[in-house]
Amino acid sequence: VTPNVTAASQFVDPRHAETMTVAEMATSVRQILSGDVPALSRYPDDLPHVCVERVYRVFGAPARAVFHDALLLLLQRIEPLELTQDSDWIDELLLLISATLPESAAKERAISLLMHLYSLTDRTSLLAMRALASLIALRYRAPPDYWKSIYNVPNERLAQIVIRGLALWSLDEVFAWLSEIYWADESLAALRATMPLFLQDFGPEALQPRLEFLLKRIAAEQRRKLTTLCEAIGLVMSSKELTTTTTKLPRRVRVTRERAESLRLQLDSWTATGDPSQTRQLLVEAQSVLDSSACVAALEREATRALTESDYPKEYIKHLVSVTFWYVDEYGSLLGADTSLRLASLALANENAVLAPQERMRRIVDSVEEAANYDDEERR
Amino acid sequence: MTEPSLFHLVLSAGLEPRSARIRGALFQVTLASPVGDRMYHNLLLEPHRSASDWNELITKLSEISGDIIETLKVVRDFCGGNPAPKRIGTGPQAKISSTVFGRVIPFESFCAILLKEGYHVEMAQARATVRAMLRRALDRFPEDWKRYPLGMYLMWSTFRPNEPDPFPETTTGGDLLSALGIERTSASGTILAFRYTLPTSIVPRVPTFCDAYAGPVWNPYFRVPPFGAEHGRVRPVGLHERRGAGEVVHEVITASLLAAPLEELP
Repeated sequence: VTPNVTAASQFVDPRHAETMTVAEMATSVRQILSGDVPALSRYPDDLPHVCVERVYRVFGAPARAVFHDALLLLLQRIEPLELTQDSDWIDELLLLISATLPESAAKERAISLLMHLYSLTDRTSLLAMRALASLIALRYRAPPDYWKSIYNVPNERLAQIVIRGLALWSLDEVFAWLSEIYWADESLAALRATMPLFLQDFGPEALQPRLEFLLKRIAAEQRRKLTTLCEAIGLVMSSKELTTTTTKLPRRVRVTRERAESLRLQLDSWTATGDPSQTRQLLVEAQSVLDSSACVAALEREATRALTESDYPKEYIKHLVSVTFWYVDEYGSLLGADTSLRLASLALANENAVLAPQERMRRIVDSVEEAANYDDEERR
Repeated sequence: MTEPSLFHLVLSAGLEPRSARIRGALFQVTLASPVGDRMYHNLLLEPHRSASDWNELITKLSEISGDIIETLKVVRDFCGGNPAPKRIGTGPQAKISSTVFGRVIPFESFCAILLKEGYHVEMAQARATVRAMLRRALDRFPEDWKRYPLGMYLMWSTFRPNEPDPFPETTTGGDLLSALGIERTSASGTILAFRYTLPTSIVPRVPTFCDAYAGPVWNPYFRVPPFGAEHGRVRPVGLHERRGAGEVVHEVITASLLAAPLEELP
């Protein structure tokens, strides 16, 4: 009997596992994960890591500590060549790490080893995705931009990883990202796979407004599919939100540098002289392809011009004001309070400038009364 | 007329020079695991392989040093092959009159299959989805859920002849699991019960040695059905059950073939 197999036999008996060293435990676990030594289960389609985890669950604290170190040892010793040639046991190891290390003292060390492993993998391989998934299982809060940066091709599993990585920060991060990316069936499938967990963790009240936010930013075909998904999970989107979205979105294509550049030029030269619906369309696309700052800069520039140029036509001011209020209403949650307030103040200032004196006075009285009522309510 | 068993061949006089060595190698396997001896006996008694199959295994076993790991690899390759399944799911067609089949599986094991197969990237996602499945009527299953596999590699299913419910009638959940050969431990968690139909393209078969020992996980309660058996039979756990439930193997099916909502056994 070789010592290795003896160790593996001992491992399946927790009483023996209590006396094993880190190296012995690592050898045993590796043999079971790679199928060299059989694990036992009434369910022959059980996965080796599930069988090992079951044994681990009955370990005492000392054996668990040895087990954690054994997993780190195995992770550390993975050779780059193994990543391409003999990767199934590594896949099982990563699943085992995800199941057993989240609450352990070995978690931080595991995270840095997983990051290193990910750097060695082919980024499109299943193993790379499993390494990222293990980071999420260990609740590694990489910056949101990190998760966004790994999504370089439309891929359902990758999209799930980004969604889960961003969800470690907030739901807003998830839905802001979903509204920014090229929206394809992969994105929908990833969201669908995650929805039961979101419903369980955040509840329908938190999901509904964010889904409505997203529905307004995706193409018609995908919007229809997402609406069906919402209905399937029992979320009824408000009919107002769905029917009043008249902005016709352009067909989404992969974001290219040329397209971004073209949109930036359009925003730079934009004036409030055209059709408001075209302006909204431009802002929707720019918001998804570029970022908020480009849209905000264009609106602020034009608002300042309207306030300072005495010959700025009144009908253009009305256009500017309506578009600015629409924009703040649509994207306020992404802009933040300061930017939203700044844009709204500029729009109000421009609106006041074009109001007749009686109308302006009526609004001032209304706002004073509203403030007084608010104060009364606060005092009560 | 029955097929020869390995037992007959290995012990036959003509093979005697190799016999001791092969038996020595296989005996090592009995030490590799607490149920290695059962595997050894099942191998010797398996009635559904041809003489040429056994000669292939004997030749392979006689070419190795007798190291346990090497021996196990030879047996696994003989059964499963790599990558294509060679002798898995090749037992005789089961002679049964059931239309509804069933299996039980730990909640966590089913979630792990969904994770391994790439339907989810995180156990938390898989668990939440399976919990949602438990609350949902079958006709309201989204298309994604219908594509979920109900097992991996090969499915082991139980049945009751001419009965709509495949699971044995028992008074308690514990007795049911006992009849299905399942030991409850605190580490195994709750158990899911699936009830499903099989399309005509999927044939239920009598389980064989290769079905039980080709993979990285061994079924400790498997016993080789005798030659001519109409189906397999689970080795029950505990003292109360005298007879285990009927058992067959077949290709993995998806949740689209579920005949009843998922059930969680306490």
